Amino acid sequence: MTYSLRILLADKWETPMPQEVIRTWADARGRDSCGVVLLETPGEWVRGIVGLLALSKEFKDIGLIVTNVGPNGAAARAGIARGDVLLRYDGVDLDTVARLCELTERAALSRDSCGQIDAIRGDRERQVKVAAGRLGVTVSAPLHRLKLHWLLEATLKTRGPVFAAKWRPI
Amino acid sequence: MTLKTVRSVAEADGQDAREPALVEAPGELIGRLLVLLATVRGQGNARRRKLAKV
Repeated sequence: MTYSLRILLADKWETPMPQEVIRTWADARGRDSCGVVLLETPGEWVRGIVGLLALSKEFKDIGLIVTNVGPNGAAARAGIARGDVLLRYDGVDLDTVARLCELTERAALSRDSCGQIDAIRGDRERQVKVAAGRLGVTVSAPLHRLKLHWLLEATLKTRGPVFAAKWRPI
Repeated sequence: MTLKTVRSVAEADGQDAREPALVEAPGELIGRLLVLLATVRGQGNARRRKLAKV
């Protein structure tokens, strides 16, 4: 009997569970919040999306992901690049975008000419000095910490395929 | 055509950038992921929200 049970369980484990494939906004709406889904993705987006998911998993509690860097801003001059994760500004943990804005504004008003950012790129953490004031970047909190109110509104009203033909990689 | 399933960064690095693929994502994050992507590219209703400029 034990042997039969083992065969039965092994058979269940080896049978892949069917996974839901997301192609349109309608596919994503109202789906169960647990489990794993498959997102049909154009090849040029695959690396970016997988990287974003990995960063979000790793930095659930602190950190902000740099989504773009202005060409002549303080961050660009300090060597910050898209995909870096900003952990601390002058030693203060960055858990929200509002916190980073507050810290940069405070630095601009103070007598200090620069601030210090702890950032991670890949698996390497480093400290960079940036000019006090605006950094010249756009940032986003990792996915777990994105606010839900505008997410709900946007997912309810947006229609069509997730990856429209006009989209180009960032 | 059968699409390849990509589960990790290492698999994504080995993926041909011209070939579409299925990216495995946690169901709890899929809504957030889609809206963030739409925000970045200004698609649909999400275009009204801008990423924070600091």
